[in-house]
Amino acid sequence: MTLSFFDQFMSPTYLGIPLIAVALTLPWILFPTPSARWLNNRLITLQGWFINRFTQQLLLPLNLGGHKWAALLTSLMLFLITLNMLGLLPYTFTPTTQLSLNMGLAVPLWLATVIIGMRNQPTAALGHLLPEGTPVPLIPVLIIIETISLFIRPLALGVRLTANLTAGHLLIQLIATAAFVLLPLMPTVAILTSIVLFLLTLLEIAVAMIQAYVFVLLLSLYLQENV
Amino acid sequence: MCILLSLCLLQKKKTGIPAHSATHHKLFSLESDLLRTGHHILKMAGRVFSSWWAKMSPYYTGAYQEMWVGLGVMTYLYYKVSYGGKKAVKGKPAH
Repeated sequence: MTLSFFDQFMSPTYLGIPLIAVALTLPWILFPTPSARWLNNRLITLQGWFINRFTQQLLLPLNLGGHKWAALLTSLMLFLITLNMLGLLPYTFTPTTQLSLNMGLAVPLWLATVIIGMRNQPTAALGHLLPEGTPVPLIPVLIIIETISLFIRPLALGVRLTANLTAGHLLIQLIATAAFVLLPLMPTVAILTSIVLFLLTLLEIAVAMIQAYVFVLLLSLYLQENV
Repeated sequence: MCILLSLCLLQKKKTGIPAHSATHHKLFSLESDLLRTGHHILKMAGRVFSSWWAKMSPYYTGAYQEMWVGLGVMTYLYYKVSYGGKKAVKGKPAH
């Protein structure tokens, strides 16, 4: 019984064909392309408004050099939020519960920000390793600590997203199983468990959106330091 | 295939009748619907790719150059994790 709770995180295959590529590319069809007309329909207008507003807000603290990353950050946000939200549907696979995917997103993007910093402004990039106003005796220790925190960043980015989503999905499955099993035995307790399940599902919807946003926001902050 | 093609051309030259006319049996024909559809699909895919590349090439070649380093690192790490090194591969000993 314990093993079956983790079956939902297994990469889906059908007759031996891995379906992970389908799981990753299918959300793309949910975003219609704006037509060549001057005025689109309401759905596309809403989509375009959301994308523009989000990009505008995200790029506010960034210098001009960071604006090249607008397309990447916005598309990453849409990608993550769609995968997370679709994963909340019953019996769907959430690719962002896989550490491999999240590390595959976090490491190259973080490394790119570090390389940009080292390439364009190496002094300022290295200067971030020592905060202003540090007492002199603490300088060596603090440089070591800041270096460790720099290298922990991609790990934290990837693991944060994975852990939040995995934990949420596991909790939902556990509580749903409990409510289902309790229904013939203790219906009142089962109803209370179902209420908890409903509230948890609302929380997971919020977590799905927030975690996607936090991932992209932190990347923009790392970029802001290096640009 | 070359022999068949040259035979068709030879037929065309000798008699003046087109090799694909109704009175001639086709030795080899390139006019099947499946091949034509496949050809159209490939051309369409090429157009889609070139229109996408026309918009995205400044990003991939200029703005996101630093990304390729991380991508290479991750690909190498994934290869190492999935397939391991020489010793991890099962196989018969050399002798």
